[in-house]
Amino acid sequence: MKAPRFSRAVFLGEWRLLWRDPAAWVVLGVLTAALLGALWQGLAREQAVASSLAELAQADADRMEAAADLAQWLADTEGGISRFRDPRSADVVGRRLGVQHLALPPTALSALAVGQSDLYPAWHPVSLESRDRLQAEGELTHPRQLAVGRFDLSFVVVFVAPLLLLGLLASVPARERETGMLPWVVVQGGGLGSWLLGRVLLRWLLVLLPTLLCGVLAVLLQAMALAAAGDGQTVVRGLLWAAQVTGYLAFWAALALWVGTLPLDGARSALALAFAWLLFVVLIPAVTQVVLDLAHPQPSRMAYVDAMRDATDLARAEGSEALVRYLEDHPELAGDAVDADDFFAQRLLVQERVEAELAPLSAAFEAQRAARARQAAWLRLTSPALLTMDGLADAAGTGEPRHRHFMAQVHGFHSEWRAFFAPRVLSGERFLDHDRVPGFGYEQEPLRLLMPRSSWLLTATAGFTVLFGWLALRRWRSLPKVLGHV
Amino acid sequence: MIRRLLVKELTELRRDGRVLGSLAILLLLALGAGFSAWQQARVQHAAWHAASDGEHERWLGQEAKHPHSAAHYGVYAFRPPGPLAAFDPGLEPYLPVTVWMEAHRQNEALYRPAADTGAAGRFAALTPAAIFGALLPLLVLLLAAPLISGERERGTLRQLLAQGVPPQRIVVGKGLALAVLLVALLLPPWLLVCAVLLIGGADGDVLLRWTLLAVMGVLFLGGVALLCLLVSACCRQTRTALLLLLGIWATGTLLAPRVVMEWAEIRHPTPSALEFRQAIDAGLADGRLRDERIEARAESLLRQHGVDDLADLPVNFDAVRLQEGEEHGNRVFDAVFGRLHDGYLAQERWLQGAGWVAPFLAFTALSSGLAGSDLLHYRHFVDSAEAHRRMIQRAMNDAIYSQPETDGERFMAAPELWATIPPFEYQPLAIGDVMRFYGVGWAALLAWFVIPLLALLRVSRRLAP
Repeated sequence: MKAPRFSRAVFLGEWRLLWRDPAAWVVLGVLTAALLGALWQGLAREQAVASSLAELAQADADRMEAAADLAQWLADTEGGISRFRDPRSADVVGRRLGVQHLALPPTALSALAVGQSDLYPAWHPVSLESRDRLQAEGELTHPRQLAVGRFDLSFVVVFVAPLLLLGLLASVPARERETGMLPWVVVQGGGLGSWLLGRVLLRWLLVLLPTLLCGVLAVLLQAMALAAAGDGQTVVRGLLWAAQVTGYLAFWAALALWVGTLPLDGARSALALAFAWLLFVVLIPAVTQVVLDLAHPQPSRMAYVDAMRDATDLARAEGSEALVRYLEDHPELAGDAVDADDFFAQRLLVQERVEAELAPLSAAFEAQRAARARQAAWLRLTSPALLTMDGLADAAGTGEPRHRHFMAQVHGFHSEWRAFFAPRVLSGERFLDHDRVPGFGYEQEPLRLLMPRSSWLLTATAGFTVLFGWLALRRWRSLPKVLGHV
Repeated sequence: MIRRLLVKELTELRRDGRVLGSLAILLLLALGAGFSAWQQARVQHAAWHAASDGEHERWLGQEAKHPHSAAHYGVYAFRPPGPLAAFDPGLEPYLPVTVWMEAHRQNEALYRPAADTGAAGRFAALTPAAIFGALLPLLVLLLAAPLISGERERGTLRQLLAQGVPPQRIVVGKGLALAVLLVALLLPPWLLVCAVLLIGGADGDVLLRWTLLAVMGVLFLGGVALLCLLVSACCRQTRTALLLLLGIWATGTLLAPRVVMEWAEIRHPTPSALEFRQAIDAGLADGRLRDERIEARAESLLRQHGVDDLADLPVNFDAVRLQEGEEHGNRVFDAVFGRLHDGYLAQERWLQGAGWVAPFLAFTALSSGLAGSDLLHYRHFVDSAEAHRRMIQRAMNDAIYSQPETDGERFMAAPELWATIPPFEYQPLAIGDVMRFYGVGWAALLAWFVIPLLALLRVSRRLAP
């Protein structure tokens, strides 16, 4: 038998049949309900995040303005205030009054995938506090919510849409063979291959198009709400998201096409597809997690805190000496107001010593995490569901890489903050530079970083599609025999 | 008669290569998951022991200092894994592992392990509980769906009925065959864990939890098997029964948890971190009651000791100020943290309540509850740590109270004072409290067992050939 060719007549005939098929309407109804539910949830969630970020930014600005006003008033009137609340103290401003909440702004696509954004907070408070504190604080989310995952468009795409697609394709072409419809198909012309391809293609489109449409709707609504459409990345991210969805559903269609060419009856064919779904969506991801846990156990935060406490004690015990040593190295900072017992300066130096002591431990912790992440990246290749889940989150800007990129900026700003305040804390001079405090400007993750990642995920998913497409094509020659036509 | 039917069913199951293959795959998965969970729990236990011991040693090793400095030095409380977390890690990866207990403030707990596992950890977790709650029902439905509908399709059901075999006995025989298979599959590992627990010196509470898990498992899996038999008895074709059951499984196991939790959050919204922290700050800033109480204590002490100035008191009034500050903070923390945790637990009750619709939800809530890896145990840990923090603050303030600094010299407590503070030893929640909280979940599972049973008995009386 020749390779199948697209036949317009077959396609239109199938379209008419599909239009009258109640199962297709049920699938369309369920899919639309799931998509709209996920869309509504996503938009509501993103609106709450955006409003939280706006409130934080306003609170930061108000606090700083009030501190500057009070400092000016105290300077003018020579009024008294506790040194621990004095806005003319660099330590008080750098640690408390001037604290800045650095925000990872949502993209126009964030409503499409929660990704890791429910686990990693969208903002981090930066102050003179230790860098370690940056990773400790987070958003409040019910742990069960984190454990079961969110009902978002990614979930609908990765879990629900394939099930619906397979539901439509489960008994193609076994049902036609069992009901004796196949001879009618053949006499209409076009060949069995074209008929089967048209049938699968049409059902694939029935699931794909509403999903893409919902994605476009989500982006438009989110972009309108956030005025984020002009950031230059929306179109590219949107195309990547659409490509991931298309590729993933194409994989399931190819798999169904292959199963359709196997000599199975309707029940077995449906069971085979159900098992394939279970294998790729549930079992393989779960097994990769076990493999990962066994090969690269997750580093312990308890051990980390334990070591941190030891390092803090050591640094605190040497605190006074540390200040003296530091001032020997930096005599220009030894103003009249400083003595070795100065609490603020000592605290700052202890903090720096603790961080220095912890640096190897943090590096080891990060190395262990990175090794695990590398292994996880390879293990994703075992299932298109894993690839797509990551790809959708990455395209939506809610994945781990964008958060890592943001955290690098947070750490950079933390260093800048400390470089600005530390000399002023150590010199003990009155602080009146409220308007010169560093400000943070978030820089989008460049597309040149996103594109290779997404392309790799897309290519890997396409590899699965090609594999099953090729398997289906190989069986094409024996298709009439399999279908009982000859 | 039933015995013969049972033997026939078991023989058929034994001869079915798909059954043996599925069992082998499930066994392999269970072994891998069990080993991984056991190893993780072991590592976590070791880390918890080391960190907790280290923390107490550090507390005892403090030099002579003012007690309030020691209160600020504080102690970290580390959360041990639940007593049966190796079976069901439940929410462990998403619950913070430590909380810093210091003066003036109830801190939020820190470090969720999941934040360090990467995106892969979010997709799915293969644990013994997940295998029992999600994959084993799948196997049961694959086995049970054709049991009656298959006989009907092949026409053998008609033959059996024509021979005068009562239809109830046919159904009972098939049900018993399924039950025997499941017992043979699950009893050995259950007994093995019992033996491991006994050899490991597990206390009565842990053994009781493990026994209750078994009871819950019987209810859950029995309910699933009965439901599958019921569907099989009602469907003319095996394919219909299979697809219907697969649909129920996918909806109840994959879709329902997400939808229910989203809905639960809408009904009991979790405040944002900003709202939560603002509520604490606002509460702490409003110190009118604290100031009134300090004033009243000052007047009372001055009257009691017949002096006019606080500096002339034979006690250190700073301690009163500090303790009243603590009491003020405690009222705020009780209210704000209480609201947060009450909201969380209300969402958990929703999950249990949804067990009336999807038994997997009741199973997942109960299983993590009995394993000690749920939110109820976490809240108990947080409350226990907070009680310990308050005990430390009171002890430190009491020490200050008895040492008036009349000569202007600051009081330095000797290290013996630190030894009066016991180490923080978290005791898991009593099983009675766990059972009370999960009453709805138990009732839902019982209903999912009894209703399909009654329905099956009714259907079996009029079993159509």
